[in-house]
Parts: sequence; structure tokens; C-alpha cells
Amino acid sequence: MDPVTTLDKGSRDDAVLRVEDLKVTFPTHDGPVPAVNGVSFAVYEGETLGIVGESGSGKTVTSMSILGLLPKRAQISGKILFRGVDLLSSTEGQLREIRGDRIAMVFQDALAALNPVMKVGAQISEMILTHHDTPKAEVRERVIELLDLVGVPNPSARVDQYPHEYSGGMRQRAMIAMAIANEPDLLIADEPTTALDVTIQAQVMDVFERIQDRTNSAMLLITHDLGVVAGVADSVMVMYAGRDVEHGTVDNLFYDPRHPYTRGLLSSLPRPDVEGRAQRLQRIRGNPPSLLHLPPGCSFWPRCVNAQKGVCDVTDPPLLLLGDDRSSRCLFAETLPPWESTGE
Amino acid sequence: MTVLDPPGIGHDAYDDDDFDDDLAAGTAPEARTQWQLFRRRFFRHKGAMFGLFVLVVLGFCCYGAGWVAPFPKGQLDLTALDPQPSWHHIFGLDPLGRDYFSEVLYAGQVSLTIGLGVGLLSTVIGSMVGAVAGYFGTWRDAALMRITDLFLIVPQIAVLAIALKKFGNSATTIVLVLTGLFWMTIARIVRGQVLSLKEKEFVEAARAAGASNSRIIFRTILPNLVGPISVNATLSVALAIATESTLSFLGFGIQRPATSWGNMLSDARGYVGTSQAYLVYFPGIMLLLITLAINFLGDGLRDALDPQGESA
Repeated sequence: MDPVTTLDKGSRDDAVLRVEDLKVTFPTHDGPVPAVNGVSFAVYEGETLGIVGESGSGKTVTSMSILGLLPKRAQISGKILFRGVDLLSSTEGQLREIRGDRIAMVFQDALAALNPVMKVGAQISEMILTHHDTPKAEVRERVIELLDLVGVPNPSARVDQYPHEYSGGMRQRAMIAMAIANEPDLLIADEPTTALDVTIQAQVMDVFERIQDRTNSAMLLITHDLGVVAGVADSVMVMYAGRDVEHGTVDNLFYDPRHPYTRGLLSSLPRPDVEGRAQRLQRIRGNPPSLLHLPPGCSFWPRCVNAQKGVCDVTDPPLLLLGDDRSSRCLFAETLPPWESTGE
Repeated sequence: MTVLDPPGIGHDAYDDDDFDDDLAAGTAPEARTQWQLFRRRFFRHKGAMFGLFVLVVLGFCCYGAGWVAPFPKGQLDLTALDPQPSWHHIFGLDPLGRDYFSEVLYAGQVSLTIGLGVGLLSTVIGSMVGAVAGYFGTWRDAALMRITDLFLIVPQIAVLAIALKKFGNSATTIVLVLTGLFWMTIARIVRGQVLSLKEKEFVEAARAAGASNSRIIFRTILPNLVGPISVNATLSVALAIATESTLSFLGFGIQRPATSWGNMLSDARGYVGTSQAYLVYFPGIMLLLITLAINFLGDGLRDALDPQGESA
């Protein structure tokens, strides 16, 4: 049970992105706010890592720090290795070359993230032209091809329309087309389906999967929707109060969660396939802690059903390695009662 | 569609699958772009249409004075007995015996050029200052806005008079000096808008796409401000024309032999109350018409560019 700082110990060297002990602190008038507090993970070529957590758990700050888009007052430490290069020590100019070209981002609200006064086609072209000198006619052809690829119907007409003429799902598709325009090595999707209804969600996630099959890019999927993660991710990282509390592949994390918080999240999901007592949704008691006043010891203990006095409220749990690609930040990760998957 | 439809039942409304094919074939209701909506609202705005008409006519007459004016510039009519307006000289003659209509048209060239020059220059400078201040914030914002305040509080006429005395009063210097006093309004407007726009997600998206600061300012933010900037630009053209005539009236502006509506007014002020009071009226009416027309145009632009405005 050695504490580990990285998810695996370099057994695989095809990591597109490797984040090590990332800490992001925002100074405020009431004191420093540790938005991200020692998070480590890796994303591999052709694979998707889902980052799951409730609002304020540090998901978005993590993704913003990868792109170097956090406000200047943020104090960042740790390592963000993109293909071996530490992004945290890169200059703004170097980052600008990477952004949009090697690492691209899909935003949550496509209507807000698209420029209202620019044609959709022009915005996608802009993405290409920012990074590559390509003849205009070629770019247009490429844009139409991209729109077609993400499933925008009638792309040669749609290319000249404005964002407000697109429907919600189509706008998200256009955002994806923009993100993949330069065939990035890493795609960061920050709650890409939250603003969409369930049918469109499924279609959009489908597009992501198709793109990934084609380009073999790595993907970081940030969401609070466990269903989406179960559907498309290969591995999962669960975040709570700025910490990575559990890592695992989708299969072992969903069937055998080794952290009480993950268990709480899973049992709060509606299960239409279950009859009887489990029909009532379980909730995690209490509220997420204020980042300004984190409880001593494990930040989750005040809400934890397995917490033990004198242990959990004293010791800050390290990340415990439980096996290949599997770790948990719970002192009792190995002795937790067996998880009754209510589905069986 | 090969399926036969029962007569009288419009199925098309329920048939979504064909929507985009229809769009390609041009049979679907045409989606209106921002630009089309703008044109529609603008061309139905009566004030704007009046303004545009007056501007085009006056602009054509003044700049085309070589063809339009009935008499060449400065030609004396030594045969006329009566200087009053007549069919031959519709604006009458000036005290030297020149055709006043032709003089007014030629003078209009100077007045309009100064107005347009100041409008263009102050808009460009003001937009730049405002965009840089608003986008970068911190010390650049503080410095630029204090300079803007400084320019706003100086007594304008006094500064103009002194500056023109020092630098001479050619049309070029008048444009430059007036620009120096006109760029602040637009700078403040643009700064305010940029402050709110730069927090928008699409600006962050542009940054995440690797766009540089200048690319974000020029390609992402400023196109969103076409409305307020162009409205303000038209208004500053009108204001510049009026200010130029004020200056010329006070004797600091355009000097003889060059003419502008301002110094024509100035020269004619002695004739108020005499039988030749028309010498004051005609350049005055021209000034009034042109400023009114430009202001109407600006109003129309503002209404047409307002996305919440009535959709005509």
C-alpha cells in the first residue's frame, strides 16, 4: 500500500498527457482557495479519461490549467506534461501554438462559445488559419468536410450560416468540428452534453466516439453525468473538493467502487432496472465543504457513512494503489464492505 | 416523395427529415441573416431614408460641384443688377458678385471633407484606445482612461483656437485637431463594451483555440461592436461639421480664399437684418440639413442594429 503520485508508474509510455501533483490555489480576500489540491492522472492515445465530480470539485479548473487559461492570480504547481513537455513552464507563445492545434477544447454551452457575428464556417476556418497557412479554397473545402464528419446535414449550405441559425445539437457539433479541425492529439470536452437534451446527448457522444476512432486522439471528458462516462470513457477519475479521490477503469470503478464518495455518487443514480427498496434515490448526506475551510483529515469524512472517529478526521489519506490502474484516496479502501451493486 | 398523400392533408409540416433537402432546393422558408434583418429594418426606417437621401444629394452636389454648379468657382457676374435670388442665380449673388449657389457647393466640399475625415480618424483612434484599455485592463486601462479624461475636461474651443493658431489652419490641421478632441467618446463606449465582451465564453474559446491577443481583439471582439461604433461615427461626423463651422465663424477655422460653410456664415454675419440676409440663411440651412440628415442616419443605424428592435 504505497502512496503513489501518479496513476501508473510509467508502465505505459504512450501517455499524451500526464498531470502530476497539480495544485491550483486562488488567493482571495478570505484566504487562499485550493481549487485543485494535488491531482495526478494520465490520458493515453485513443483513450478517454472521464473526470467526474460535483460542481466546485475542480474539474474545470483542472482543464483550464492544462490550456494555461487560468487567470494570472492563480498559483499553480506540479507538472503538466504534454507529450513530455511541461506546459506549466512553457511560454505564452509556445502555449498559443499548442492551443487549438495540439490540444483543443469543446465547451459546454456552444451558443455562448461561438461568436454570434461570425459565420460558423468562418469560425472553423479561423481555427485552421490561426495555425496553418492554407489556401482559402482548400480551407473552405476542409470546413465542409468537417461539418459533414460531425453530422451537420447539408454542410455546403450550413457553412455560411450564423450560430443562431443552428439548433442546439448542431451548434455542439459545429463546436466539435472546430475542435477537431487541426486533428489535435488531445481533446478536452468540458461538459459537452450538459446543455443538450438526452437524445441529442447520445448523438453528440456518438460523434465523439466516431472522431476518436478516426483520429486516435486522446480525450479528457469532464462531466458530472456518470451515465455519459459509463458510455464512452475508458477510465475514470473521481474528484471531490479539489482532490482525485478514486481512479479506475470504467468497469472496475462502476462495479467495485473503492471510495465511499464514488459509492454515494453511484447509489444516487436512478436505476430503472431495479425493483423494490432501491427505487428510492439514495443521497449523500450533507453539503460539499467550503474550499476555504476544509475539514481536517479526509475532506469527505463529515459526509462519509464509513468514517471512523479518530482516524478519518485526523489523517489526510494518501492515494493508495489498489492494483493496475486502480487507486483510491480512502484509508479503508481495501476494507470497505463489499459493494452491493443494486443492479444485481 | 413517392408516397401519395391523402388530399387535403398537409403532411409537410410534420416531415422533418426533408427539411435540409428543402433548404438546399430553396423551397424552405428562407432563413434571414443578421445582415438581411439589418437591411430590412434600416430601409424601412423613414428618418434614416430621409437622412440618406439628403446626404447623397448634398454629397453629390458638393463633390460634383464642377458639373453641378451653374457657374465656375469665383467667377464674377458683372452684368447682374440685382443680387437677390432669382431664377438665374437661385441663391443670389454674394457682395462681390459671385454666384452664391456655386460658392455654397464648393464650400460644402471642405465642410464635408473635414466632417468625414474627423469621423473616420476619431473612430479609428478611439476604437483602438478603447479596445486596448478594455481588453488588457490593469495599468494600460488606467493610463489610457486617465488620458481620455484629461482630453475630455480641457476647454475645447480654447484649445482648438490655440492649436490652430500654432499649427496653421489648413483643412488637414483642422481635421487633426478636431480628431484630438473627438476620439474620447468612442473610446469610452468601446472600452465599456470590450470589458463585458471579453468575459464572454466565445472569447475564451478563441483563446483556447490559440488566437493571439490582436487576433482576438480584431477578429473576435471588434466585429461585435460594429453597431455602436458606426452609430457613433455618424454622429461624430455631424458634430465635426458643426464644430468646424463654429471655429470658422470665430475666425480660427478655414481662412479665405478657401471657403467653408462656417466662414461663409462668418462673412455674412454683417448682413443680418438687411435685404441680403439670405447670405446667412443659405449656408446656415445647408449646415442644418446636413447635420440633421447625419443624425437621422445615425438613429436609423442604431435602431436597425438593435437586435431587440422591432422586427420590421
